[in-house]
Amino acid sequence: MQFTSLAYLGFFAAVFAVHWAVPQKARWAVCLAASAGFYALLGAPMLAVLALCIAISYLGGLWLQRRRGRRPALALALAAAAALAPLLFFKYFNTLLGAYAPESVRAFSLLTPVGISFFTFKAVAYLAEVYKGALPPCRHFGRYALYVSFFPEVSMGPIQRPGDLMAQIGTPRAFDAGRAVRGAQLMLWGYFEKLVVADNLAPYVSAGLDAPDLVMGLSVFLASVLYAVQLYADFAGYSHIAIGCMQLLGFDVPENFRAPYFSTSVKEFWNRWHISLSSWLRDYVYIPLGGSRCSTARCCVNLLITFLVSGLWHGTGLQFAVWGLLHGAYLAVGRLTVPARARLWRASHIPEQSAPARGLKILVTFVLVWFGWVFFRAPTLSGALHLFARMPDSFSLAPPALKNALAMLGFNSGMLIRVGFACALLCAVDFAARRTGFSAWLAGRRKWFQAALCYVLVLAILFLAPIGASPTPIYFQF
Amino acid sequence: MKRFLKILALFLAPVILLLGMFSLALVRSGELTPTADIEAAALNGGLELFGLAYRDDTRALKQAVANARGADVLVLGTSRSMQLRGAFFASDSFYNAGGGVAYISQAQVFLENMPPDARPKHLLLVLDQYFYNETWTSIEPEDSAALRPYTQPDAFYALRRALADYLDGKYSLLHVLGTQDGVYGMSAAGRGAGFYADGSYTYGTAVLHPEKSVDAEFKDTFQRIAKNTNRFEYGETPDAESLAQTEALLAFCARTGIEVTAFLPPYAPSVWQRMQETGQYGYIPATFAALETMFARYGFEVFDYSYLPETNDSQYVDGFHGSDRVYAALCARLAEDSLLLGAQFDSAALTALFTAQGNPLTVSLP
Repeated sequence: MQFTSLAYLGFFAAVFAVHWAVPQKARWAVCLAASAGFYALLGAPMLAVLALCIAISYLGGLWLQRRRGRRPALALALAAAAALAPLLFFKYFNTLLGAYAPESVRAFSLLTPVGISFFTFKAVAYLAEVYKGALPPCRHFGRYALYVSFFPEVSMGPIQRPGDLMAQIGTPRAFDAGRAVRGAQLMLWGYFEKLVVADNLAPYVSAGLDAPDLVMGLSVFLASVLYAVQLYADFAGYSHIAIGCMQLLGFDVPENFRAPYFSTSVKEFWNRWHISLSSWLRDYVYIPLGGSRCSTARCCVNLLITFLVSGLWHGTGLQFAVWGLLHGAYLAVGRLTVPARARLWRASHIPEQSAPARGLKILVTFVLVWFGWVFFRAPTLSGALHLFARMPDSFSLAPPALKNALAMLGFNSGMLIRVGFACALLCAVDFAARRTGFSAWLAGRRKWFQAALCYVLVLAILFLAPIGASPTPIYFQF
Repeated sequence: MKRFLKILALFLAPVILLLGMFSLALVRSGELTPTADIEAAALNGGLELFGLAYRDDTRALKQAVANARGADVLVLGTSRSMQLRGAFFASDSFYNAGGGVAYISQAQVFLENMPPDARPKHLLLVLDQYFYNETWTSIEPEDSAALRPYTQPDAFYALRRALADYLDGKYSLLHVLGTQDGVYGMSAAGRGAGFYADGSYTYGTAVLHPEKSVDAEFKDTFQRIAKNTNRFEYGETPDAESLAQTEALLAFCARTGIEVTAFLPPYAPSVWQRMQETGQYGYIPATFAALETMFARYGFEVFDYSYLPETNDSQYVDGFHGSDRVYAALCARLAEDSLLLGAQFDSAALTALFTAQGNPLTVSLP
């Protein structure tokens, strides 16, 4: 059941009504039942995997506390390994099967449970927090199960921290109309991003990147740029819907995306893109490796390792490893060149914080990130290199060539206007909300503006969203 | 909570009103009318125009109406047979089941599905050239000869489509809200496009602005020819299986006493010329030669009207769909050429319709 289906809207409306109708102390049970139901719709074996992960990490938390003072690091490693085992099994089983198993056995490839990365990371974060003593182990199995499996977050995050979410589950609050309005607005924005921007772009991106030999080089290039927008709108949209749902149920969730394409450096980009995963990797991989409180060389290695882990988490193909290492290298180089870049700006006589300088930095950052997305999108490493090889073919930015390139992707003038409008609105709102995030930005506007923007979003969804089932969110595969 | 629900209700009220208007338009247009009711209207004289936009029951409906009417003269073919108007024929017992078949094999199925006493005395069969193209039949193998039941109207899907089409300027909301009785479907109500009671088809307002067509100046058709695709695949020899299916059809007609006249439908002259220039459509004359011999064996007749020199490009809706005018000219030809069906046509009257002043894509029927 995708968030974009009518069934989900009906399901959520029912959960919302029941959740607020029952006494406060029973609300967690409503949410847990809803989460179990939501996940069960994906199949009983999937629910069993989720339950296994919950049970392992729940017991692991209790065990960690009992082992306090007796080789706790080993206990954490064992508990975390047990919690991660289902993820590693499902993530890499099919790859190994495909690579080494005989043909007859390959048919037994397993369907990876949706959101397994996300709920596993939540479980590992919980174990790490218990280990650090920042959080007491949760003795209430039901509430802990809800923390791991809460239905808006279970399929694609955000990976909300245990200290934050479990505290909220444990202390039910009264209905807050302001928070609910903000949640509804954020959901609406998320639906716009997913249905109007991402889903409209999907066929054109596919036309250019799935069959690069059938289109001209410029088409491949344009499709790869559009992919950067599609991926963002798809993932951020789903995140915003999830956070909006959580807010409507009375829970606060930190922003997961904050205008990442307006970042002035790759470092800033990772502070704005999939924030919950970036901070998870920072806290549970980068810092344990030594973080930045070590020699510069070691710090650079830590960055490379952290992003390699991120890349390998996204997939087993070499292209993901390259993508991860590329971003690790960006950050390492960025760190190493701070003084040189400062000298360069001084020499240019352009103030580094001026609008032209920031614009240039945003452009350079986007180009670096786009370069990485090509690896991310390609089915294999050689596929990515082939995409790059196709791009210069008959490359020209002359209007007739541009027109041909767009036509080869399948654009007509009507669709170009629609997609252009959708992307422009996304860009404008992101730019306006780049400092505070969408919810806080909109809440700070006048009521009439809020209402007008919401109507624009509703009309865009009604009139511009492609007809038919919405494509599966890109991050479902991770 | 009350405050939130109040805000939500106030916000949603105009949205619901808007959706309500479009839903009402869908209801008024007859788009959501069950096809069984449209069939009933077609049989009791209550059908003026039938053009569903968001579901396609054409084949099943044509079969049902043809079965119930039992017309003496039955037209059978694809969209390239749909401009054959009842007014072109002398017989009042006429039905155009154009759109009732998409493959040659389906023609026999169509006739077999008819009650024996409802089968026509005379069948005018339109044989699209690509039926006999080996490449096309391999790319688009027949989906199913079995007749599908009527589809159920899907209100939500129709509403989504109606909103998108409105944005595309395909219809006026006010116009659709004022739909007359006897009109069924958004295409019919919004654009005047659909099937008349005699089963023939009108392109509605599309013929007023041919320059807005996706195939204006036959660009799309020329591309298909250049790209060797989409019913313009190259081919040299006729598809043996399709010829065998035609033979089986003729045998069935001979057995059941149905006289058959057939023709290969026309292409726009410049499209035909372009096809000839490629030298890649050898299967068409070869098909006709094979069909001519086959039809003659059963005492039936077939004509090759792939190229009608008396017509011009402006009289074609697209590269391979002639307008009413083209089919008036074609019927005038049949009046001269056909021994079996010629008496059905008034050659002079049809020529007058063909040569009359006015929009080259339409004819003024009495």
